[in-house]
Amino acid sequence: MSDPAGIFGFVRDLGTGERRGRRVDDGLAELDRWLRDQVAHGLARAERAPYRLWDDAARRLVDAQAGALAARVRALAGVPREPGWPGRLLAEYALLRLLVRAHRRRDALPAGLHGTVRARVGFPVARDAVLRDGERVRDRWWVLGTRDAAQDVLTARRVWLRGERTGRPALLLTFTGPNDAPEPAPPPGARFEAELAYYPGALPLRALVAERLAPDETGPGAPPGTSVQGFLDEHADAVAHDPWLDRYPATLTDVRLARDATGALFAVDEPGDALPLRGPVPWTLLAVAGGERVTLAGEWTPRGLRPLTTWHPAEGAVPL
Amino acid sequence: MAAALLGTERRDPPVLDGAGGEDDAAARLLDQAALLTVRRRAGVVAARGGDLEPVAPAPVEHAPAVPDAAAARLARILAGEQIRVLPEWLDAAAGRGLRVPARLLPALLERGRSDRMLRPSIARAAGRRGMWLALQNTDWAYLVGAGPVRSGDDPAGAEAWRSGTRHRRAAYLSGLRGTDPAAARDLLRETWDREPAPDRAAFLGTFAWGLSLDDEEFLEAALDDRGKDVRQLAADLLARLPGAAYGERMAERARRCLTLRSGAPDGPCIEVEAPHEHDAGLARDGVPFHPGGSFAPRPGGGPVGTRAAWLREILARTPLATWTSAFGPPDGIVRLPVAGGGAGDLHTGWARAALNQRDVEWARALLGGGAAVDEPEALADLLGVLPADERGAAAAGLVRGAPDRAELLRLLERVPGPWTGPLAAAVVTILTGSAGQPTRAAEHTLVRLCRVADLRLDPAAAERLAGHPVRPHPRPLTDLVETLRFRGAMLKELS
Repeated sequence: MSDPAGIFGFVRDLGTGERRGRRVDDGLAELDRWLRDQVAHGLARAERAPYRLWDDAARRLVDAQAGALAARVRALAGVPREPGWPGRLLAEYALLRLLVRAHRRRDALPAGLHGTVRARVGFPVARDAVLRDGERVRDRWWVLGTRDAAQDVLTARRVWLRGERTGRPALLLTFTGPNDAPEPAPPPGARFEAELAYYPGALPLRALVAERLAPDETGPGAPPGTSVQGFLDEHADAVAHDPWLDRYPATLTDVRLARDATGALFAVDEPGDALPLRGPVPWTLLAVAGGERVTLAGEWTPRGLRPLTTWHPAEGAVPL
Repeated sequence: MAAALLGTERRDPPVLDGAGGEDDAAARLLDQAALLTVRRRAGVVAARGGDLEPVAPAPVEHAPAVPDAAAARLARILAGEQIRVLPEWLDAAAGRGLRVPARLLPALLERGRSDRMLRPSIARAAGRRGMWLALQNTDWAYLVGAGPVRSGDDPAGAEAWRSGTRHRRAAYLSGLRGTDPAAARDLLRETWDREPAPDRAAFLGTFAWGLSLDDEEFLEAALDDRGKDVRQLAADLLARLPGAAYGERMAERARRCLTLRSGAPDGPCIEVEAPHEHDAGLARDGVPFHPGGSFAPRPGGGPVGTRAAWLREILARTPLATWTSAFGPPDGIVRLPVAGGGAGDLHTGWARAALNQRDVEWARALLGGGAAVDEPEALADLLGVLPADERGAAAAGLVRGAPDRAELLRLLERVPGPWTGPLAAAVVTILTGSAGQPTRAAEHTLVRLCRVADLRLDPAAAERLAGHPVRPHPRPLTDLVETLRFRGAMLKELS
């Protein structure tokens, strides 16, 4: 396991904060020009643009030591192949510029938002600093699900947690190199008593396990969840704190699956509110739910809910 | 949006309230878009469930799911570990009235896409949830035709018969044959003349289910069909139908070939006179001029030849009762000497007849030793006719009587599992004997036998094989022991 600080080889520069700060400033100024160019010349060009368009911009951000931003820019290369891409691309460019502007005005921002902006740009936060200064929350944490994603040569693992007593969400983010043995993922549906330390930010989400107080418990039972409306309210509040939020954990209670006229799947709760599902057809979810109501945890993204885990009375917690 | 697509150089973006006062049009557009994006993301409104079609609930399961340990092992198997044992896992679970848990159904149904042989086993073990799920994915729709479909369970079946693919229609028809053979026959009769020949053959094949004398008229008519496969299939089905005129025609021919000489000085014997001519009637009844195997070498000399092959075919299609009523009980008949050395033709023909007619007494007599069947496969196939508790001993007898290794292996490859009792002991003896020897022949035997034994041999044999003193154990043997142990643990979890 390594901190994302290690990914881009910035560790050696950690001590020279001032120089780094100037490079980031320059890099973001260049990104701003690039963004305005894209819009000035028209997004329509993006449909036929080569991958290089985004990759070059991302590379310059890596050179400027804005690693998180670079990854965000590089991920945009796939957008013009999706339906409804122009709106999505404009939204992402707009949020990037919002980040550039926020960073420019960082000294006027409240401390929490400042932390969020720094993290979104890619300033590393040392593990020790999180353990020393981060907000500590003790709870019985439910493992909602795990998602591994390839990121350059690394594998990024997101483990989503939800506190049973506080209701707080948490994200354990780890990176594994190609030669590291992957750590065993905690089984979805497990819960453990622990104290987490949150990374600084206006919306505390990313966290470290500061102190584990008990081993994993497994067994029957589902994590506490919400209705669709309850989740959307919580999410709206979260976006208000971190406008760049693009993944947020949802645990929906008593939802059943339904299809719209095009066959796209939705999760519908008891009052009849529905959220669209995203990604390939979730056959395992369909098989386990069998048209009945289940508890469903997923990652909410601007494009829909990506299913992570479902809980069924007979089958227990089933990763999806 | 239009401004963003065309470019702010060509079109001025609209001005919204609340956005900052940048003078650069592109920057202004981005800033306004950011505001809208955050508003939109924070203000996501739930879709209305009323506009959606709920996924129909799956039918209630009757069978319980397998225990957790068995489910965990199935997950490993589906991930590729010892994948060849999958049919045995499924059949064992279904045999004990258990079903696959819902969460493993997608991976299981995916396996069945590429492996047709697996489909009946999947259909038995997947439960009602499996069928429900398969109906939602066209890639898995094969399951609908793979199981014992009952006409009442299959409301889509009648529609499938009208407009489905050949495979789907044959599946519906075989399901109907299982419950109401006459209705299936009448249904087929309606469209019979309009179906293309390959379809007629596929549909006629379903008559294997629920075959009875009521089908005779239909099958007799099919003997004059335009399609060669249809004619052959009709003849083969008629040969399995006791009491049909077809059997009497064959018996007529067969009786002209075989004579019992009871007054001979060395005791009674059978005289054989193979047919001299091949006529149109014989061809109509499904015996071609060159029957399969007529060029095969006969033990100790030249090919079987067409005349002997006709005789074998005639005997294979003659009701065995013909001989029992004329010559006495089967075990006596099998032991009768044959004048002129034609015993091989007789016994091979009878072995095929016993298999076709599922005749236990004849199977027992032919497997009892002394039968001069020159196709070891024909005898091995007869094991399936015996009651399950007699198979092991009979198979062990066959193994002991095999004249050489090559025939032994051919034979064992045809003996279905499970290999238990005396047969298991005999196989273990061969395996341990071969594993100790450095010769190429022994190695070849070991490799080939391990390959068929791993899925059939009683898992209890694992420890006896593991205790073999040869060091190091040859690779096929260690693989065999590993598979046997895996199967042993698997069957224990399912019991």
